[in-house]
Amino acid sequence: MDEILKLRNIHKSFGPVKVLEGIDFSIERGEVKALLGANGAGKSTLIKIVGGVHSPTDGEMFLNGEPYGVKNENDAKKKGISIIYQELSLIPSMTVIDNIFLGREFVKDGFLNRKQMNIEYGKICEEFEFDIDADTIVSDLSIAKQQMVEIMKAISYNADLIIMDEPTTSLTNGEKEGLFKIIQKLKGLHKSIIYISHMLEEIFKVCDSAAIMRNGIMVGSYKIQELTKSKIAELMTGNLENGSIEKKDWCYVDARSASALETVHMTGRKVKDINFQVRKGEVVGLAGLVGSKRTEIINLIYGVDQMTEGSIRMNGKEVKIRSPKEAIANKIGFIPEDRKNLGLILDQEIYKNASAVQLRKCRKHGFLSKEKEVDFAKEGIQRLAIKVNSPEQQVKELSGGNQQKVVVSKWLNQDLDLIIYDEPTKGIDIGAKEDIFQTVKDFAQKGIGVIFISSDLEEVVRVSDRILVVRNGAIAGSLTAAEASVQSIMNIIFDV
Amino acid sequence: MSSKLKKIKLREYGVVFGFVILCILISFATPAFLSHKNILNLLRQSSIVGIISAGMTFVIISGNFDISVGAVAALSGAVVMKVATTGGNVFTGILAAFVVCGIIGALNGIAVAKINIPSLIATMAMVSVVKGSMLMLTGGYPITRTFPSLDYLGNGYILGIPVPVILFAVVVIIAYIVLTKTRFGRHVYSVGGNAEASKLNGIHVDRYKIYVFIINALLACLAGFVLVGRMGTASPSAGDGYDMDAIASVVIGGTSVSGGSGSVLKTVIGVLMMSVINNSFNLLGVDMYFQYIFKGLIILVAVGIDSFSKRRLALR
Repeated sequence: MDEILKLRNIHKSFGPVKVLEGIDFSIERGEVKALLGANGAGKSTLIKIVGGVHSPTDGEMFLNGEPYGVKNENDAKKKGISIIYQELSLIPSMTVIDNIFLGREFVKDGFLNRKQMNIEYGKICEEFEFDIDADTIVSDLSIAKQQMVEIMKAISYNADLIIMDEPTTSLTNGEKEGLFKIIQKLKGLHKSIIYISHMLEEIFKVCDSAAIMRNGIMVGSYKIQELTKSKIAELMTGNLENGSIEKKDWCYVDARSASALETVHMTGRKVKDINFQVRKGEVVGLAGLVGSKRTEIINLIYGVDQMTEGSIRMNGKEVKIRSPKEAIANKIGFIPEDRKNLGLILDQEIYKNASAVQLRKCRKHGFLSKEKEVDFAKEGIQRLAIKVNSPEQQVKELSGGNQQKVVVSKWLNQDLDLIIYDEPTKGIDIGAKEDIFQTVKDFAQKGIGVIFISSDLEEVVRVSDRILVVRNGAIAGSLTAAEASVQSIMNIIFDV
Repeated sequence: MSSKLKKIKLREYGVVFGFVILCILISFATPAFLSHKNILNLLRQSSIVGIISAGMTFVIISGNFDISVGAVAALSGAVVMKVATTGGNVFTGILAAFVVCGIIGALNGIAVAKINIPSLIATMAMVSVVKGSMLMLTGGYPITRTFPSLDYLGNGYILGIPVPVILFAVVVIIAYIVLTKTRFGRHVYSVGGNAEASKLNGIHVDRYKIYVFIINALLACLAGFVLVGRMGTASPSAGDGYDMDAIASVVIGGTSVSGGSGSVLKTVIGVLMMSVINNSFNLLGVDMYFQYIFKGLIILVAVGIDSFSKRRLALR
C-alpha cells in the first residue's frame, strides 16, 4: 500500500454546525478516486481542509506517511497538493502564461525571466497536448478554454496530488476527452487525483475508485467495478427510489391542447431558423451539448437578445419581445442558468428576491408592503420546501439547491403561459433536484408550457413530453417521450 | 482571429492615433504650437501632473483610486518649506516630506486593504485630514522663500531640457520597468484583475494594495517638490485639481478603471493629451470655462469607450 494522503477521523464544525463527523479517507499513488456526495454532504469542506483553506476541528492527516499540517493554499501547493476549484481562479485581464506562473514567476537578477517561463510553458504544452497560445488574454478565451488553462496551471505545479472540483462543467465533449487523456497521463506519472463530479458517466470513465459521502459522514470507499449508477445514487441518498431514472408518470398535454408558444423562422446572431411549438401543459426539453446554443435560443424568446428574422407567437398571436420586461408582460417566466448572477440578488433577503417580478402585487396604498412580500415568500418557502430560518434571511446564506428554489418561487403566483428552465439543476443535490422537478410538474398541471434545458440528458429524458435536440444553433431533431433516451439524443447530436 | 487582433490593437492604440491627429490639427490651426519654446513649455506643464499620474497608474491598475494626491503634493511642499525655514535645510525638509507622505500613503493603503473602506472614500477622508494638518502646520498662510535647490527642481535646465521634464521621464521609465519587468508589477496587475484569485495564488493582496498607495503618495510628494520649486511658495491650495487631472490622464490614456490592465506609457499619452488640449485652447484663446467642460467630456468619452468595448467583449 503506497498511500499518498490519508485522513483519519476528521471532524469539522463551523460554530455549532457539524459539517464533517469522523471522516476517514485515503488515496494511493497513481490512483484516480472520485469523491461523491450530494451538495451539503461535506465534499467541499473536506477538500478545503486538505487544501489548507480550513483547518480541521479534530483528526489526523498524513501525507506520504508523515503527519501533514497545512497553513494556507500556498502551503498546500508547496507540499505537492494542487486544487482546481469550481470557480475559476484566473486573472481575466492577464495572459495565459502570466496566469500559469502567477505567484511563482521565474526571476533573474530581479527581473522577470520571460524566456525561462516560455520554455517551461512549451514543455507543459507539449507533454499534455495543450494548444493555447501563451500570450492570449484569458478573457478572450471561451469559458471552456479558460477551464483548460486552469487545469494546465494545476498540472504545471507538478503536484503529486491534484484535486479536481467539477472540472468538466463547461467543457465540450472534445475537451472532456482531452481532460480524460490528461488524467490517464498523470496517472502514468504516478500522480494521484481526487475527482469530484456530478456527472456519473465521467466517474465510470476515469476513476479507479470512489469515496461516497453523505451528510458529513463517509459512507464508504468502493472499487469502481463494484458500483453502478443506481448503487451510487442509493449510497449518496440512502434511498433507492430517488436514484432511479424512470420517466415521469404524468402528462398534461394532448393533441387538442392549445399552443402556448410558437416560433416561426426565428433567427438571431447565433441561431438560425428555429421553428417549434410548446403547447399548454407541455414540457419541451432542449437537449444539446454545451456550446450548441441552447441558451441563445432562450435568450431570443426572453428578449435578452434581439431576433434578426422570424417571429414569436404567444397563444397564436404574434408578439414582439424586445426585452425581458416585455417577455414578462407576455407571461413568460425564466429561470436562468447562472442563478448567482442572473437569478438572484445574493445580498438581499429571500422575500425581496421572491417578490422581485411581482412588486405590483405587493403594494398597499401605493407603497411596497413588506408584509405582503413576506407572505408571498412564505408561500413559496412552504410550497417548495425551501430550508430557511426566516424569509428575512439573506439568499447568499442558502445552499445552491435552496437558492434555486427561491428563483423558482418568484414565478409561482404569476399568471404565466410559458416558463423556461435553463440548467436548473446545475450544482444542486439530488433532493433539491426532485423538488425542482416537482415544480415543473406543478407548472405543467396548471396548463403552463415549460421549456426545460439541462446538460444532464437523463434529466431531460425524465421530465420532457417532447425533446428537441439542438446542434450548432439549429434544431437537429425531435423526439417524443416514447422515443427519448440518452442514446437516441446522443445519436442525433452526433448525427449517427 | 486576425480581425479580432486588429480590433484589439485599435483599442490599444486608438489614443495614440487620436493624440497624433490632434497635434497635427492644432499645428495647422496655430503654427506657434510646434515651436521649440511651446513644446518645452508644454512638457514642463505636463511634468507635475505626469509624475502624479505615474503613481496613479499603479493605484488604478490595482483596482483603486486615490484622490488625496493633490493634497499630498501640497503638503509635501509645505513640509519642505516649513522645515527649511525653521532651522532645518532643504535636504532634511525633503526627507521629512517623504516620510510624512509615505506614512499618509500607508494609511490610505491600510484603510483600503485592511479595513476594506472603498478607496474613493478612504482617500477622500484623507484629503480632509491632510488639508487640516497643512493648515495647522502653516497657520493658513503661504510660506514664501526662494531656495536655490528647490528653484532648480522647478525651473532649472539640464542640457536645455527642464529639470521637471527629466524627473518626469525618469519616473516614467522606472515605473514602466517595475510594472512590466518585475514580479512586483506583475502582481499589481493580478491584484487589480482579480483579488480573490490572486489570493489563491499565494499573493499577499493586502500588502500590494498598501504598496501601491505608498508609491503613489511618494510620487505625489516628489511632484510637490517640483511644484513648490516652480512657485517659490507653499500654499495649502497649491495641489488642488491635480488629483482629478491625474485620474483623468490615466483614464484617457486607456488604463481600465476596473483595474487589472493598463500601462504607464498609456498614461503618458493621457497626460500629454490633456496638456495639449489645455495648451492649444490657450493658444487659440478659448474660454477657460469651456475648457473645463471639454475636459469633462473627454473623460466621459474615454471611460465610455473602455466600458463599451468591455460590454461588447462580454457579449461575444
